[in-house]
Amino acid sequence: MNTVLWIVFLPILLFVIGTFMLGYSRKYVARIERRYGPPIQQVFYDIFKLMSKKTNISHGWMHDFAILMLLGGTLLTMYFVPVPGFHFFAQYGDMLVIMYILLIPALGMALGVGETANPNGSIGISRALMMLAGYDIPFVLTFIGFAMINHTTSMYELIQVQQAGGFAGWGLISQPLLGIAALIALQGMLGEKPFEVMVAPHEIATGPMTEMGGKFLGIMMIQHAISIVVELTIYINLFLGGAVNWFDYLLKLFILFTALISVNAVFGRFRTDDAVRFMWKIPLPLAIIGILFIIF
Amino acid sequence: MVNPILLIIIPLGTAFLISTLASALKNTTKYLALLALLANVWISISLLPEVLQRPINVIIAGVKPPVGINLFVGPLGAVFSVIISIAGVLILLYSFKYIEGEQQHKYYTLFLLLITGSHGMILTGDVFNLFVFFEILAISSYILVGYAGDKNGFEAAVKYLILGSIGSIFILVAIALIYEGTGTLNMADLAGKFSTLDPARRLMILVFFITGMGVEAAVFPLNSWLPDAHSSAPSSISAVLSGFVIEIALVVIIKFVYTIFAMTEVLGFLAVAGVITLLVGEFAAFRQSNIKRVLAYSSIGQIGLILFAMSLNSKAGINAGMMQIINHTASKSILFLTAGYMIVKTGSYQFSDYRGIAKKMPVSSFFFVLGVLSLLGVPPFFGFFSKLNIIIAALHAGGAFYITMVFLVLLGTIIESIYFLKILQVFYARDTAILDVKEAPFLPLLSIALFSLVILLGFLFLPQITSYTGNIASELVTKLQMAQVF
Amino acid sequence: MSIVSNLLLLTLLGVLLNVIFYKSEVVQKYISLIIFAILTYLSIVMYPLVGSHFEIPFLIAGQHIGFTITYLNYYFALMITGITLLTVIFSLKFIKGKEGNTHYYTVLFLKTFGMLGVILSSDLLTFFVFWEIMSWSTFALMSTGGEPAHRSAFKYFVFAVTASMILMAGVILSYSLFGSFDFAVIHGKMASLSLPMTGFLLTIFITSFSIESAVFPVHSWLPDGYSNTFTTFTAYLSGISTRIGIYGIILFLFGVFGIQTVDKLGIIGKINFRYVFGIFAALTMIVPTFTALYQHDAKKLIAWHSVGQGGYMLIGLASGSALGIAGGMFHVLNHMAYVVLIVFAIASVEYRTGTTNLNKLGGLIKKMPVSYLALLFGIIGLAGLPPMNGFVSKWFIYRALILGGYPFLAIAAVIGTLGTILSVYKLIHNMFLGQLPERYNDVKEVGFSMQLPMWILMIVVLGLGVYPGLAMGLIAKIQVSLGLAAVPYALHGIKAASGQLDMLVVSAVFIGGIAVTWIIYLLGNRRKHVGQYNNYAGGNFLNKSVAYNFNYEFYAALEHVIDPYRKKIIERTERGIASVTDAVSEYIRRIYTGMINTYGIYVVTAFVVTIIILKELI
Repeated sequence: MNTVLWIVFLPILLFVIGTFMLGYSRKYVARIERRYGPPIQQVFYDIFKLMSKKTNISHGWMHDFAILMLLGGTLLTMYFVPVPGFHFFAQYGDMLVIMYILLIPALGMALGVGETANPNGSIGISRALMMLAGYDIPFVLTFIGFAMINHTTSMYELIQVQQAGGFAGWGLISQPLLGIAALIALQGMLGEKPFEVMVAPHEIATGPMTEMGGKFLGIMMIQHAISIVVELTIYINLFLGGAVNWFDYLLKLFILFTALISVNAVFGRFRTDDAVRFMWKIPLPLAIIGILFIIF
Repeated sequence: MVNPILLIIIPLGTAFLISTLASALKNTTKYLALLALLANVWISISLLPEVLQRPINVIIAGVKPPVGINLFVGPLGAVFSVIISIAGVLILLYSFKYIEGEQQHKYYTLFLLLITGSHGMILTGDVFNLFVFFEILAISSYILVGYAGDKNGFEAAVKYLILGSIGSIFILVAIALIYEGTGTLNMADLAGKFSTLDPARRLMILVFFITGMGVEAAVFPLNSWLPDAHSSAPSSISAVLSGFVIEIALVVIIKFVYTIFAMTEVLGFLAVAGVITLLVGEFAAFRQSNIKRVLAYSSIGQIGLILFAMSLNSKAGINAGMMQIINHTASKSILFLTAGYMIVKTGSYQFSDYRGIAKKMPVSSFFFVLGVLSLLGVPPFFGFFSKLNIIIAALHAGGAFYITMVFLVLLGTIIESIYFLKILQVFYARDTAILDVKEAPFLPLLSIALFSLVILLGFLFLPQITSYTGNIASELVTKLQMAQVF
Repeated sequence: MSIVSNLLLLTLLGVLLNVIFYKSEVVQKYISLIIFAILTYLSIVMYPLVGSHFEIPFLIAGQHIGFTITYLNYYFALMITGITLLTVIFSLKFIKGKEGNTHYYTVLFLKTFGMLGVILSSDLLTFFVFWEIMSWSTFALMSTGGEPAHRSAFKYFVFAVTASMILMAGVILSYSLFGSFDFAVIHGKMASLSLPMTGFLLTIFITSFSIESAVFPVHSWLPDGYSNTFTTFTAYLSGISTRIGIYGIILFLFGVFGIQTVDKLGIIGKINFRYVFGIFAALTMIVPTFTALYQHDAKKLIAWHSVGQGGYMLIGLASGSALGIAGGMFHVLNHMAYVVLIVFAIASVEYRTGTTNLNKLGGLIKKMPVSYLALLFGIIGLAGLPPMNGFVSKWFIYRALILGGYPFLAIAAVIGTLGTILSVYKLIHNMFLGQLPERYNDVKEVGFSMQLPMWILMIVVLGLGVYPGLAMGLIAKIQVSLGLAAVPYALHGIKAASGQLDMLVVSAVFIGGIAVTWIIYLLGNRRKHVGQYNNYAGGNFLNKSVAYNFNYEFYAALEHVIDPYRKKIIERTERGIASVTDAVSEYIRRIYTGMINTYGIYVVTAFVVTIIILKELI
């Protein structure tokens, strides 16, 4: 019964958290840039506005289906990532499953955007995929190292191992090199500056979102809100000892997110090749050295 | 019992008959030649079962050895006679259409003399007779190489003649040394007395004999006449020369080293010489563009392989070597004979001019492929089993030396496969520049088809063939002293 | 000699009939269809006969030789006959009227004959004989097609003949060591062999099979060889032909040598034979996959991936754990299903548009939705994303590598997967998405006989993804029969102490997620479909004369990053070897100067050298 409640309410909960976080980030960045910024609930307004648009332009059935695959895939990931009090699905799929179902929404979006036949969109997808090759290699490597020392690939068990060790058991503390590498990769995964090459409004007219409007864009925003929380949660679960309760969880989310958007606020955008090169030159060697420490 | 001497007398007599009756018989000489060779086939096959029971010793003119002249027919001689006569008949059949013109009787005379010399060399029990038959064989082949009468053929024949003469002089010196030292020329007698000679003389005899015979056997570097001779001769003669003439010389060397000189300690040297010959032949063929030169160099490679197999100092090795000789006789004859008509039809020796010839001459091309496959040792053709046996024998000899040799042999095969495949790809190219080329006539194709039967069905008769070649192996390796026969 | 001889003789009958009826394409195709249907049926009903042995009724080198049916054979026989049947069904229309199709079915039968013989053989000699038949027929298969096909087939031939010769050395070496060709006998005597010799022998065999299965650095024959021939052959070759090499590796590593023997072959510390093999496998995953990114031709792109995916199978086998080996074997099946599906989709596009050039296609999703769907299923499988089958086997492999303590091999697998995702998106985008060129306005979907194999394979790709247990049952049996630990499988995935996998739950949650999204989607107003020229163009107007598409140099930025590291070492080495061979043969050729005076010198030199050497010997 409890599980059913979780299944029903978790998406709503994370959606709310995510939208507020997005609103918070807009406000936070605005303040750094000495603007007033929109109200924190602005993202809600945006989503409601988009969902109630009268004309919804679509370029074909893949375009329609892509949007389902996008949010559907994100919800799938969401259920498999343990949050405090809910880890029902963790027994059916481990961290490796999560790593790869994370790519389903990306693939869905890529296919949909492809059908819109807009070169800006295609370039955005091409950039997103190249960026994926950039950040995913170090990120997965840190996970591999972490899983290897703990002899498990289950995220839930990794959380428990960390919590058993107290504060010193946190991944970031026990394996600092891996933790830092993953943190940099996380910045790329969230698509925040300086790795914001996929959207790049000034260069490619917001890339994948160019031909997305109305309810399509609305669902993309919902997905964005949820996926940000999910990705941050993965990092928390792997390197910040997971969360024992919701207060702990929200606190960690807030701190981690603030740290990341602070970087976002003060950086410009890398060129795509530089972004990839950066990922392969800094976090990747860090992760490799971290693993060498584990082996020897 | 059929007298083995007929194997020599029939072709010799027919040759004289043809040359004397040439004006009367005109173009029917060839049927006479065919008849003679068919008789040879029958004789050699009917000899086979007896010989396997017990070697036959034939005394000529009633004078007993060691003074007289005699023939010795062991399994080696018998099997080789079969090879010679069958290959001879088939190639003769091919020549019926292939050799044209007024002066045909010369060709058939020489051809029969060549067969005579071949049979004689392999059957004789006397060292000096060996020399005589060698000369008959060599001289007829010099002339046959230049038979076409063109410039290339003539040049090649002269080269062959000069080198061949050096070889025969060496052999003659060896024979003189033997006679001086032992006072006998009979092989069986010699086998007993040879070891009594002092080592220096033995060395000189061996060296003169091996280098002298080596010229005809085409061992590197004595084989420099071969590419020219085999490629310039008429294709039927190329088939004869590659098919069994060089093998005969090789087998004579092997026979002497194993039984008569009984100096198996030099076999290692021969094995290395064989592998070097193999590699040189294959590499030299690699970049050739003249199809007959490719085949000629490939013959050098194959003779190297046979020499290697036979120098392994084991029954298995000689057995495998004999199988490889059979395979080479069949497959190389197929290749030369098919190539012969391709040259006639297209008028070119360059295989690059044969693009897409498979469309115009499908049967010939098909046989060519068969020949190549068997020569390369692709299962289930006969060549596969002979090559398999060679390598088994080599690895049984054991040691890093032979493993290295095996890898070199396999390297040679790789090179060989590559250049043959180049030719096949040209044959089967889809675009074609050849327009008015027709398939070869029926009779030559029939002869080629009969050769193909050997390599196609050889593996079904593997036990029988191995029983014959196995007997040869025991004849040579167990040094079945010929003296025991008397 | 019941079922095995039936299988082989029936295939030979197919060869024969096709040769006889080489003029009539109609007869050929129906004969082929019927015979392959029977073959498939026979190989399915072979199951109760597992364990039986059939001898060829004559001795070779004094040895009994023959065939045997094991679980491993059964697994491969099923794949071979099944995929050939699908290829034939697809070819019925595809190959019609194509130039050079006269011997299409003949070589297909010959190749199948060779492959079936190889996998069913119970001894080295039979194995080798069929191996040769297989190599030559692969060569024939690759040669169909124009002039480039001839060239690339020639390249294959050079590699294949080298592999064959190495294999021959291995076959005969083991015969002289063990006195038998029989796999079981050799396996029994293996323990008595000294370790260096075992290592040498194993290296010989593995090298030979690695050439056939296109392991890095001897893979370069594959991409051109597979992509220059008919597209259906591309499918067939990438799907099953290369994997016979993998069969050889499985058989020799686990069946003939045995994992215990292989594990004894240590080099330094943790670096043992398997580990070195794993490193080659890792390179096979990475290098060809990233080379695929650069390709502009759909067939070539897939051919490169076909090399890369081989690396996954090998690395699974190299991991040595039950999970990894199962993953490797399972990946053979999975790869076959999705790669053939992908190439069929490509072939459909080629059938309708006449090209596979990725820079010239685009937007075909509107015209060929079934082919698009087939390609989509295929690439999701190839990229290894849930819920398709490729994910499951890759999951096994990743997990085996991580828990086995091979982090760098594991990351190589991940890098390979990422590279794959990139290039398969390029593939589907450039063919089916983006702007539809005007010249393809009249393109239609392919007919039923070409759709049917695609639908079947789509079901297989998805079915094995959601219910991996269907294949895992057989794979577990293979593992037990090879003396390995069986993987603890369930119908929907795998049961393990830590972190299990249930593909049904994953798929169900995914479908649930899609359903929820659909409800949200329906809350909005109805969407309206518009044409491709109704598009954002920065304030400009689009019409059919404007090429408004992004497909050329799709990953320019990434190529920019990788380029400095692409040294083409393999290509240069190969060219070097070729030119050295040419030079050597040129020099040796010059020994035969054609001048009689040099020849005289040779004879004298030979005479003197013989004296000197023989003097030492006597």
